[in-house]
Amino acid sequence: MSSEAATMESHHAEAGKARETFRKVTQDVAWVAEAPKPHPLWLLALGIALIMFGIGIYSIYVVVMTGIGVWGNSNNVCWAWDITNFVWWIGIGHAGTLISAVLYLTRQQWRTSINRAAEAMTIFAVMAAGLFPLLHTGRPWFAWWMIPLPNDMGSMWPQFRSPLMWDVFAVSTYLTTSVLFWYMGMVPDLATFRDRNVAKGNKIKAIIYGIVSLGWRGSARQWHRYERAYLVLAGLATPLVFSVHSVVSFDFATSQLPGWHTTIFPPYFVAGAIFSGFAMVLTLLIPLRFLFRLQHIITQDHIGAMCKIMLATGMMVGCAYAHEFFIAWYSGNIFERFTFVSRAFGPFWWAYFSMVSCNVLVPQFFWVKKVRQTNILIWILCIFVNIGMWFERFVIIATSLARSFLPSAWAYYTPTRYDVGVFVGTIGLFLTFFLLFFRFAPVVAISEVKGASPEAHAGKGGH
Amino acid sequence: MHDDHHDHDEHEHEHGHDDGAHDAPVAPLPPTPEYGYWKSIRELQGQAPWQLDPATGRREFPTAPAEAEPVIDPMSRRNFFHLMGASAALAGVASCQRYEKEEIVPLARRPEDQTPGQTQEYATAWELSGVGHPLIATSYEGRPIHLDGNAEHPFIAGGVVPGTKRHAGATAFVQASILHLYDPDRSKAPTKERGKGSTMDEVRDALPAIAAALKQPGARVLTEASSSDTVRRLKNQLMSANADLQWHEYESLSWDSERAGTALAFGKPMRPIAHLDRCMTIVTIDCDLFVEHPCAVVYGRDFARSRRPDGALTAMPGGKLGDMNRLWSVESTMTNTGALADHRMPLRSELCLPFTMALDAALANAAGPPSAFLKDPKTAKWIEVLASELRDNRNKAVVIAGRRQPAVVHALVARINAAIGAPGNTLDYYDAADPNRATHLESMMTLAADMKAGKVKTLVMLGGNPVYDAPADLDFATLLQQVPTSLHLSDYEDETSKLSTWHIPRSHFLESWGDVRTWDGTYTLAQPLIAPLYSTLSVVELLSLLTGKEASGEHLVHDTFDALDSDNANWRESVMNGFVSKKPPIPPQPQLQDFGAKLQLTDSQRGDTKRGQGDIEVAFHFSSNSYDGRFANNPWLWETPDFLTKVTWDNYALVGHETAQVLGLENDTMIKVTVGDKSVEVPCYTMPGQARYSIGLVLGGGRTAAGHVGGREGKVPVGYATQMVRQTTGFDIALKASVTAVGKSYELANTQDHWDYRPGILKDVGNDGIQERIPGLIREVSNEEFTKDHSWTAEKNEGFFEDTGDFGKRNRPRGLSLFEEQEYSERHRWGMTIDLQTCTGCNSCMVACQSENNVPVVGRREVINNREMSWIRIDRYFKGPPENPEVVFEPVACQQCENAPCEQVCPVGATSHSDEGLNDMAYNRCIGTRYCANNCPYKVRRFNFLDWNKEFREARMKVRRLLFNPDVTVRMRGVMEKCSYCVQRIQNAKIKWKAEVRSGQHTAFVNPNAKDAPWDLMPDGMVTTACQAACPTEAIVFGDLADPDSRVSNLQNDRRQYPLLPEMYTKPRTRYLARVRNPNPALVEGGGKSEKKQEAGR
Repeated sequence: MSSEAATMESHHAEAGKARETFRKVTQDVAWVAEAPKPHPLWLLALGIALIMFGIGIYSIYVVVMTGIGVWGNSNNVCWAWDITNFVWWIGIGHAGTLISAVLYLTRQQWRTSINRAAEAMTIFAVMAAGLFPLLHTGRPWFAWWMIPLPNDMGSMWPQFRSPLMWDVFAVSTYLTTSVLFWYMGMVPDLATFRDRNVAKGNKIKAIIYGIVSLGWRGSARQWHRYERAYLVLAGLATPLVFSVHSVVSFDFATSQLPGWHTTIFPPYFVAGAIFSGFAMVLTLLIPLRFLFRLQHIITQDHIGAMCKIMLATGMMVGCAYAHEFFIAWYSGNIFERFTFVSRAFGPFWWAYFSMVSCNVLVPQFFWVKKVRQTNILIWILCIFVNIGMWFERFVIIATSLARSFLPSAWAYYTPTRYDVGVFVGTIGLFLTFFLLFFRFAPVVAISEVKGASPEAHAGKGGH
Repeated sequence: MHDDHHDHDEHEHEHGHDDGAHDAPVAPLPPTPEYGYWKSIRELQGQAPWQLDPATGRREFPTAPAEAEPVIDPMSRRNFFHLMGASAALAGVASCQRYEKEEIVPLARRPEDQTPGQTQEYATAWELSGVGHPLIATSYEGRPIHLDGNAEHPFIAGGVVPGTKRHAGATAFVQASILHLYDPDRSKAPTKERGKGSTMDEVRDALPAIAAALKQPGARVLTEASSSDTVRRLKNQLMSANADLQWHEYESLSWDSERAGTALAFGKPMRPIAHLDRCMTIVTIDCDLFVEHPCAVVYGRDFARSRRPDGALTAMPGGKLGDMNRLWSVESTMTNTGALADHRMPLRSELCLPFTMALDAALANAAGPPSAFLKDPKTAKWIEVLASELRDNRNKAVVIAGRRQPAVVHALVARINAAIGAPGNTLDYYDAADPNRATHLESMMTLAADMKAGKVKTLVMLGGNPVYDAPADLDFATLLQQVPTSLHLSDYEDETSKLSTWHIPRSHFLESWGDVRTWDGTYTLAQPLIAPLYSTLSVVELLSLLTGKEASGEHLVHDTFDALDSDNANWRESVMNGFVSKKPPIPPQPQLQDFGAKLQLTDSQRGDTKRGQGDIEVAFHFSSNSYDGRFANNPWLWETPDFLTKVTWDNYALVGHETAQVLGLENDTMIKVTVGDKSVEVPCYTMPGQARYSIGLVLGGGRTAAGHVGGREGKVPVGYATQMVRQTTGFDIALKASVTAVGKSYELANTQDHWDYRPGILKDVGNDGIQERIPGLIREVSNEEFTKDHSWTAEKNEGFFEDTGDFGKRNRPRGLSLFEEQEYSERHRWGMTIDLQTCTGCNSCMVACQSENNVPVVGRREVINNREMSWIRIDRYFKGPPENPEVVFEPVACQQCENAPCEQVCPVGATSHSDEGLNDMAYNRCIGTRYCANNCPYKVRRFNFLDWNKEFREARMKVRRLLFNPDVTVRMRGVMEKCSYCVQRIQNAKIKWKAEVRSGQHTAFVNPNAKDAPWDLMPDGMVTTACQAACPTEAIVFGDLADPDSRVSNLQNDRRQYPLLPEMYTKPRTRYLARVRNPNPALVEGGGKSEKKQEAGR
């Protein structure tokens, strides 16, 4: 009896502690949006991002007005930085859905602290990526011809055998699902923001948050439906993690070009995408969690877990590199063999070895626990991984095109300032949106973190 | 010097023993690759093509294209308004009323009227350096838009491929000459007092005084070479009126040494014309038969006739399989002829005299001249084998010497030809026109001396540009300014015009009446297709004004025609045909005279081939881009890459590998060439096959008054003024020159070698890749193997696919294609063959395509950025040792794949198949993803990266827009384009044919497969693509594969046919015909080994 009473008592005590913890989570997440003045470092970062964005807008203006001849692309290397950037950004957009959907379905509860930020990153990355297929066309004002719009002109219809068409569908589906998923997950937290602003008497903010929280009251029925819908969306999004980058890889895999025409591409691209996605998540979260004092929510364990995923996917990518070489040799095809030897030891050797060292060698450091716990090291390594993954796409795209079948059509590729400008611009776009998101939206899924925290299970017999 | 390309030890040995006392040792040449093929010397050495600037280090971003740099320099505001006036005046192009009504006669089937939107064809003619080119001009609603050879002309026409009796090619220069008609930079108004604006009325007022002055002492006329009878008639009139009038004729690229040589040999100048179709052995001495020679088009055709290895096709009676000619070539610089030769010897141009003497002696079994280089065992054997072959092929061989060679060489060649029985069999000697005139160089020297002495009071210059191209030491510019009255008639206000007291714009040949003679002397008529766009005069009109009896061009030519001994040819019919079919008589074979006393060798000619600084030979070459500079304002030609160097928009010095190494010269750097007291800085191109210590200096650059394209005052000209070192001594071959590096890098706009040559970690990666794949891409076989092994086929059974080749049949299995394959109509299946055996690399097809398809010009900068737009290109690779490589080449345009990889990947279906097998482009549907180009294994698609047609929106370019072919869309930026098999020509022919069949003509043609549509079977040859029409050798054959008897069907069943990259399963409609080489077995050792190696490498 006494022991029972003692248990009850401790239970109450724990429940009180849990309430306290939950309140603190809400508090810690919400202050970012509620702080009257943003952190000066945030302002600095936003300033830099806006400058980059501006460079991008100018470059895009020149590209659209003058023609893509201002880039370094030529009749031999028809795709270069444009598609490299596209694939890179799409790859970065992968971690979000993976964290939200796949880890949700596999009950990886550590995801809850980072999934919101990762989803936002996905959306902004896909937005940045989406610019390139549009801009890289010679006549971007006609890019809408890729959309199957019913018309009365008979055969004016997209050509569905083209992987670029598949891209249109894959990427737009991915973007739609990601936005839905992100936004739906955010609704309870937006309602929390609304309530807090109502309480504080911030009328305008309360109205805005009120509109975007779609009348969420937090009733049991709403929660029930929310959980169902979230599960369904997670189920829908999971295959997309694998399909989007597989489809993007079809751009290359279904072509004739040695170095592109490879069946290994879908899994190889997906692994690479997850690899680069996590690298980008860490690149962004490590400074931001410090900046907004979220270390106790996005903990070192979470970062460690992501490092392990990068280690695994990095080795998958490395395995793919080796496999490509093996197949090139094993195929006995002189063009195939040449492409790979030339890729590694030909004029683009520097790009190839940048790729291999950044993607295969750099992640090996994550074997060491000490490294996985040193954030500055992790951050630097992640930057390398981002660079390496950019080079991977560049190596695949440019070096294969530069030396195709007929030696008379061999070329070298050098970028121009407008190639760089547009790329810098998309980074600016991405960062700007991300920083704004961090300032004005719930960056951590408050309700989910609460559900996943140990205190939430306090009543279940000490579990 | 080495004929045997496969024997390493031998030529290393050779290098071992000629380490003379001259200079520094020579590092070994790059080793000959195992399978032989390579692209450039730099690449073989594993070096980047452009020079790395030692000061700034590697230029990692050399090609930053910021904005589209206009091909031609933009207008200033002042000029803009200046020319606006002219353009406004132009608005009524056809309304120039100064000329009386004249009747010209079209060749069209319906001469009674003209159908709007339909093109019409007129016969006309053009003269380049005194050589007549009979042409058919295509006119669209009164404006000429395209030129072709006259396929009815008795001299230049005649087919090569069986079934094409009538075919005439045209050179690249001819094809491009139409551009000058619409060139906005053309001279539009006369000038007076050395450059001041004037009007034609003023000129007319002044002309009587000049005409009177021509009757006074001190009168001189300087003309370009002319074969026109009307000019000669008017000249005689002028000359008869004034005994003191002196008439000078000058060409900077002249064939007068042939005249001088035959005069030496026969006592009077003769014009030898060979019949290469009757030859088994052809020997050229420093001579390019296929581009530079006045007979180039005819020689190309005749060469192709006797070159076909299927003996039945040769003109030789009783020919059998394997009967084909063998081409031997001795030359200092690699030319198109050397590239086709079975045996080629690189030799200083100066040493061709002792070589010819040695050959002459060998034929007479006498002792050769005492030249050191002849003692080289390889050279000796070469000459011995050649002499014995010439003896064996008596009456079936010919020797031809080039224009650079001195008279004695031509005389010796005449003697050798007599010894091998050439005259009457393979060679005819025609009487040369104007037997008493001095050579061009002498004539110019006489004139200059008179001008210097102040004897010249009045100088009338009809065409030409002596200020630019007269020998530099004459300083013609200064002399001209001392002449009180000078008058220059020319198309452009050029360097000479600016220094003449009067400049009169000349009518373009398509605006004026004229007559020319082809090289054999066939009288050929030129009719105008358009009234003069500006107030201009033709040569004959000006001459008639100067005689004081003004007459229209038509009357002048008609009068000449009437005086002609022409078997009563009808004027109207002759104008329609473009010629008088009466062939000029062949005089009896002239008697050889003794000229032994002239055969003196200099010390230099007694020496060997090894020389040092200060003893370099400079051989002056015409430019394949601008000839001698007269085409300097022609962007089509500038952008057509030279066949062998693949350089565009420049002229340069060609330097051999060893020479470059010894003198410290490098590719893509500036070098200084000093001849006598004059020197010029020019880019260096390390040319494989260039003779040792001989520099080929390409003329035709550095114009200062050419126009917006070629250079004008205050603007950087295209190319370099190499003519500044060309002097009266050593006019064609200058000796004792020195060549030094300047230490500046210079990037040549090369369409092939610049497309990568940065080595990687392993410098041979690229070279190995090339060697490995070329044998599969460009197939070659020796005549011996081809003849002996009847089962030899160029298309190997690759075993990739079970493709039975029954394309077009319904319900055929899908094969290994991912998607269901396209079904093709049985009515027409268009196809093409390209014969690598007879392609001479003359670039005619490239310019013809540019003209036909409105292909844009992108300019030097964008060529460096790999964005040239040519729809057809000629890939060129070398094989064997760099000091004397073989050359292989392959014209590549869209292959029109039946299973086209480009179509599959276009997201908007802008490129798709017609059921006749054409891979069509819908330009206005294209959004420019460029995926198609990525997926094209042949890399033939061309993308409009920038607005290449921007300049045509300028007011001054209004006239240039008249040249566009209205049947072909002008593509905007952001759109992909490529060869269409000239789809507009196919459609026009089909429409025309259908109309004719429906109207009851041609009842004989009924397609048994399509009774409901009897017009389906079109007669073979009704459709010709522009490249095919321009090709002098009919290497390109186009036609309908659905017609089993068509020429293209027959050729696609030939055992020499093969597709490019069959393993891609693209099933191209364009097939290639393998090249058959015909080396003399006596000079081939270990050749079999090399064949095996090639097989293994495939």
